[in-house]
Amino acid sequence: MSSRFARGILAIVPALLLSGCAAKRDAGELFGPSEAGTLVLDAILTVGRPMPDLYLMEALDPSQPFVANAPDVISMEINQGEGSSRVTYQPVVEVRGRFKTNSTAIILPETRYYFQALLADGREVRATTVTPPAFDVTRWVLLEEDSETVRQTFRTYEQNGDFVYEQPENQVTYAEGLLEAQFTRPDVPAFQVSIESLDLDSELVIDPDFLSDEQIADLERTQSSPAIAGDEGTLRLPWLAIYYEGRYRLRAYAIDENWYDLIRTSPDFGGGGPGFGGSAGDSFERPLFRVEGGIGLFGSASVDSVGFYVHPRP
Amino acid sequence: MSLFEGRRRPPAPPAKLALAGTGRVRGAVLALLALGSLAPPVFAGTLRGQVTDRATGEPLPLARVTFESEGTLEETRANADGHWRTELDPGRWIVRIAFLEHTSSVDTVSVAAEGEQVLDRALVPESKMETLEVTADPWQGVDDQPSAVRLDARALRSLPAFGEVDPIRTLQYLPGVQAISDISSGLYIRGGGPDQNLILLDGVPIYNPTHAFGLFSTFNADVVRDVTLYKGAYPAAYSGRLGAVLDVTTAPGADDGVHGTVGLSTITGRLSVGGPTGRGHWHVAGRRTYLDPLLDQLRKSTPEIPAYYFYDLNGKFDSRIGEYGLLEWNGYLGRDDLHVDLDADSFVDQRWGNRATSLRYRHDFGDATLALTGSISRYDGDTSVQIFTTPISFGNDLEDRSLGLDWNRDMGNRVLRMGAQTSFYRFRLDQDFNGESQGTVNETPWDASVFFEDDWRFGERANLRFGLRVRRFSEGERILWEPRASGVWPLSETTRLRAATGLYHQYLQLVSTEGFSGGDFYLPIDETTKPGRSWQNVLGVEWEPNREWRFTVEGYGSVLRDLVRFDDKQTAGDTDTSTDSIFLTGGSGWAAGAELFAERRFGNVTGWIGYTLGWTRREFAEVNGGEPYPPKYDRRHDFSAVATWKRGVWTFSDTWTYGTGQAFTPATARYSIRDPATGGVSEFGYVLPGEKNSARLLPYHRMDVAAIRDFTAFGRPAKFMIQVFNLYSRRNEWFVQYDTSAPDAGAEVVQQLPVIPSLGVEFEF
Repeated sequence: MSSRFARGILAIVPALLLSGCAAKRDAGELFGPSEAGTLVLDAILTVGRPMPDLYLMEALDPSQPFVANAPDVISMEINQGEGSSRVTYQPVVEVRGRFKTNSTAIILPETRYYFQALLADGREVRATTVTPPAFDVTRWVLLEEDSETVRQTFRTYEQNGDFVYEQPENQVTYAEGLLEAQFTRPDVPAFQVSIESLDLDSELVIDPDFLSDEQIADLERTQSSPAIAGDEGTLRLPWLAIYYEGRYRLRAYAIDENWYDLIRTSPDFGGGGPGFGGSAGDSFERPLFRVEGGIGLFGSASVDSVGFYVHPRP
Repeated sequence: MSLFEGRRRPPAPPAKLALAGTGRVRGAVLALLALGSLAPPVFAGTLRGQVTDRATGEPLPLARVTFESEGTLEETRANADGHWRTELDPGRWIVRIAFLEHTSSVDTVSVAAEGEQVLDRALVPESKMETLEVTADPWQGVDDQPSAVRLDARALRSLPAFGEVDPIRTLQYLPGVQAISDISSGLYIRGGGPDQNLILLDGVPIYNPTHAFGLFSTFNADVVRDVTLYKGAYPAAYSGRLGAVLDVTTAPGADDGVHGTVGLSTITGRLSVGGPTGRGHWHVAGRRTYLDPLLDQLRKSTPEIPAYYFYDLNGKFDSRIGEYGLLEWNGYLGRDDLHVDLDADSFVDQRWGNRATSLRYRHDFGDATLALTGSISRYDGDTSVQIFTTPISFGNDLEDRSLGLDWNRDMGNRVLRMGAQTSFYRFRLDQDFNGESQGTVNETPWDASVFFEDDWRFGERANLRFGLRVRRFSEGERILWEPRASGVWPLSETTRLRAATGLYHQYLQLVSTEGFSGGDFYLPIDETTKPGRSWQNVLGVEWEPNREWRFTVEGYGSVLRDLVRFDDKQTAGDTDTSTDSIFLTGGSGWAAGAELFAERRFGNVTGWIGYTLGWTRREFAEVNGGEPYPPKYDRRHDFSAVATWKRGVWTFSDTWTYGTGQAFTPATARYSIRDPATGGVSEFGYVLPGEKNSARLLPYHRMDVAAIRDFTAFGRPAKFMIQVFNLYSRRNEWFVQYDTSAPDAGAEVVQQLPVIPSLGVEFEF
């Protein structure tokens, strides 16, 4: 052992210079063992509404181009309670993976519903949801930013139908005041809010100097929030959800456990934390799917909504 | 401090007289004596002293002191402060004091019965140039504690750096210590994350030891005297973390006049000045980034370019009080400030920093020292973001006010140490979104502990150390017992067996992303949750065939219980801020591995090779379906080679590291469901995450090199440095990104940093 040994370490330099290269490989190597074929259920029950159309599809290999892929279903049904009321579903021929029912049954609050599908290959998908209580927003208001006192109370669809957008109380100026829903909190795990711009060719109300034209073109007209606790019996809409002027419909959902677990754990629906490392970073964990024999959502919610008109700042 | 007010100690009295006169501490001292029960021989005399470096005035820890008289040879070692003490039979003794790369001193001393003499010696470096520039035994074993290494300032400054000499980044070359990425100075030690490390600056915890989102540490190499890293099973004198302890000590000012350095690196400008006072020293240093003017100019045309700077200031002052007292003040202030103006309605403001100060009085009783320390450490981080007029803010403050008492008695073949510490904390966490509070934490817990340590020495090369720390944390009112033990035992003339074990708990929880550390915050565990617990074990063999080479093999194993992990799936607006709401609790884990270390300590070419074979796992009921998973930093193989070569006025150094690719979670399928609230459908679906961290990035490897040239400028020593980070520009993989915005988009790897050269210059005065 002598200094020759240590000098040898220095001599590694040229060898490594020659071997140095960028770390490159096929993108396909970056996927895990394929779970293609996993059954994906997409079914949402809304309290007070008829039984909805459902979707049951198969997941694809992650490296393949995405196309809807439907399994061969023998039977599909939703039971209310312990088999007391049975609703059967049939495939919609025109849309792969979509199923509909002829039932006119209305979805009840605080009721357990069971989903079951049997496939030709013997696989089964099962899921259960307990619908939330009925949910009514007491009032939709615009608050003063500083004092948080009520500046104006919106008229509702019940009061004015589609004319709410023209009511003086439902006119707001972008970024002035705080939009808030006030209600008596039902016993639900959380809430979710969605907002929809109804005038699809309206102008921007934001001035996004820092966004490229492509990014501006990608600004969504329909958005949803992450899961919100709403512990104080209020839900507040941030202005960052509004990019365009014109008519808006705001919906507040009181959601069930399944829906809640999905949106709080899936970064695709606003869940997960501020993890690092891009779309496959620290927050890239499998969402909580409450579906036996597959993934997806069999969820339920009670919903209330309001309409208003957003004007640009003077 | 009040313990010592008005008390005067007569010059050089016998140690036991001094002990008898300590007033209110007498009880504690007597208790220690009773425990020690090793009174010196009745007729023995006492010889003591301190060993320092004549060039720098710094103490020389572990200096060897031998005593020879009529065929009798005895020996002792200086402690961390360079102090030593022994009891000798009356008579004439030849006293030799030796330290690596220094000229030994030889004195003949007449020892009188029951007398006490002081023999302070300042050893001259064998060659000033070599002493300053050549890495000689940079990783000194620390006081016979297994798994502990000390890095001195010389080693720090001679190794390649990423633009800025960084004590923490240098530690990442050690076996068992990893970095998570090129931009992170976080230490991942033996299967633990940065949240499990206690980081001390002059004994005061620094809660966020990073600048620039983790790119650099807060420690200015100009003021660092040495860095001691306990990789695991650390002794009872430390507590509060499940994993490792990093103890950074700053250097006092020089003895022989006012000296300093001025330096310029690619990133910062630095100034360090220090010197003697009437009875002590002072030392101040500061550094600041200087890119602001350039960024300001660029911002005129491109407003989105961020405004960013960081600075830090260090201060140290010490003064002798009487003949046996030493008063020492240390201060640190560091700040990072980032501002990005996106447009009239959108901006990002982020500020974070640490402030720490301590005042320590240490009294030397001859064979014992008593130290009383008061300290305040504060970390605050505030982020304020506005996106299209919607305000979002996040703030976290942590203040730690601590008082500690430390008693140390060296009885030659036995050292007793005991102490007490109490810390009062204040935590604040505020989150606001769109004018609504998303949860506020205001807590003021306290932590009190006492510890005792009994270190038996058997000759020069063996010791057994037993320790116990008892802690009580106000939240949950739990009393925690933390036994510790370690030992070093010779197997032959050249080999020693090393072992250590210990039980550890952690109440303060750091929440940080693994990529960068700008948004770090701390929270205490409250009564709803048990504190994290680890049981660490170390067993190894050290072989020193000669003075030049040293080899160690060390195995480690840790069992972790009651771990917590920040729950990033909380509901927005959930104002429940109890621990079991904010964190996933009840986690467990383990880490095991083996480290090989071969070191050449002397000569023109010095360096080391380190290899670690390691495994680590974590398990939480809510993560990965409740199945165990490897954390991102689980690394099977980790290799590093470091060499420094001195040739004339040049010093060359290079490092090469290799590690198993980082773990990541791969996508296993693509699927589609509607957004339940909007009914919208993602055109190309979503990707389905597979088993957590079940795939690996490509292996990581990188070489850094540096060349340092000494020259003279204006008659003063100076250095010019060229450093190249990632010499062969290996574009290591950083993380994987899945793109679902196109029908056939696949996975994309985001790469780490390419080759980055940097220059630096430094002048001494």
